Amino acid sequence: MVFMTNKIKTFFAITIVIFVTIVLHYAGWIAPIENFIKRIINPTSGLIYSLSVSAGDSMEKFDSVEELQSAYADLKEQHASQQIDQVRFQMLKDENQELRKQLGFFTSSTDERAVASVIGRNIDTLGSTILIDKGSDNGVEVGNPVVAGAGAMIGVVVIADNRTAIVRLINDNQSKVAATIMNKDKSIGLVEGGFGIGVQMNFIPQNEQINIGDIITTSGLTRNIPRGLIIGVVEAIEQEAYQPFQRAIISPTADLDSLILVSVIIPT
Amino acid sequence: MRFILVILKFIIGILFITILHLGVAYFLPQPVSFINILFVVIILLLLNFESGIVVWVAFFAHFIVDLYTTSTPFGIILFSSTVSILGAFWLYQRILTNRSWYSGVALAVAALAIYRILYTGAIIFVRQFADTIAITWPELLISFFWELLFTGAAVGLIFFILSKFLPQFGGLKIRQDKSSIFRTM
Repeated sequence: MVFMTNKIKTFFAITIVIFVTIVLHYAGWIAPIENFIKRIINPTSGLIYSLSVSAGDSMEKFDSVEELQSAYADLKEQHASQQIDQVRFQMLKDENQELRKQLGFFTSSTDERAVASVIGRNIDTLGSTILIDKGSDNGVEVGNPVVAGAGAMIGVVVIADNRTAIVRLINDNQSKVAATIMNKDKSIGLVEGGFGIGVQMNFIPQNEQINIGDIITTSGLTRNIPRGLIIGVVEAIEQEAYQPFQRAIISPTADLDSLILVSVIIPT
Repeated sequence: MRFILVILKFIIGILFITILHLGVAYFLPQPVSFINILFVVIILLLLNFESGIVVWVAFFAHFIVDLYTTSTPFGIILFSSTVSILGAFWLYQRILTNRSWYSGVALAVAALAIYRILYTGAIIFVRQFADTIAITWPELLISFFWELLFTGAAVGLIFFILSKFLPQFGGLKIRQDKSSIFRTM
């Protein structure tokens, strides 16, 4: 009986401590302590993360020589195809520049970019996020899109502290980005994450033709996210006759598991 | 002086296990990365020290983890983890009093089960007011299963190895002299 009474008292004492901590957190009164803890954890997390990425880079394994040969042949084929695309792209770029000059058409992106190092990723089961070393001191704000490499969309800033920010990746199950498929119909839809393991584009009208390999970019319909950021390519198509929409499974352009440097697009 | 040293040891220990938790999540491939290192360490600390201080270790370690969590509002992990370790502490005092590797596994599985039940309950509760947490239930349950499996196995294995070298892991039954959570080690 005494044990039960003590248990109840202890449970309530602990619950009150937790409740007070939560209230103090949301009121911002323990922010200095939280920032101090983050300043200790972040560098170590960054070191461990970069070590894990470099270890992961050298861990690609093949089960047989045939598999390696096949992967090599595929890469050669892709490389040849990309060289052709590159030549075509260069021709189109030159042509486009010439036409712009002739039309007196000026485009200038006034957006700024903050280059950031990835210093950690999520450890909870529900999300797919990364931690970057740039925050509100560098102009980063909640809602800013984040890109990797030559402009591959990887996610959106969801929390911005003074020195760090958390980016929700496009494969997070809470991520939603309006997108366009570069097909004949320029189909629009919504790119959504799925539990950190995949990305899919939903709400594509059933009557529009999409093909495997089609490129998907941002449509500009999501607030703060500019048009034309590449998201990935169509890997598979799910089409049910009785559904009004079809779905495309996307292979993201950026390798979301080994991000090292990213850029936050800051609208000016 | 001794008190300051204890506090310092406590803070360094919590930072160390949190960093270890991050490292394991970064390095190990799925599904092994679902192993909950914080629970492994806390359960082993409970079995070693038999002290209620583990509840505070759980509180501070999960406070740090919650600072880096975006998928759920701050407090869900903190509440569910601390209360589950409190439950594990009581279970250890009254029911799972046998000091063996399988008792350790049972304690780890029970603590994690309480944690995930409270966590899921808290998410469902929060979703009643604001539907901001997106959940894919089958995948979430699968991840809980892997977490239970690997965390339980890790506790059992580490306890078994430690019991061969450290006498404090080789005892038969718990000592009943450190039953308060408001007492230091």
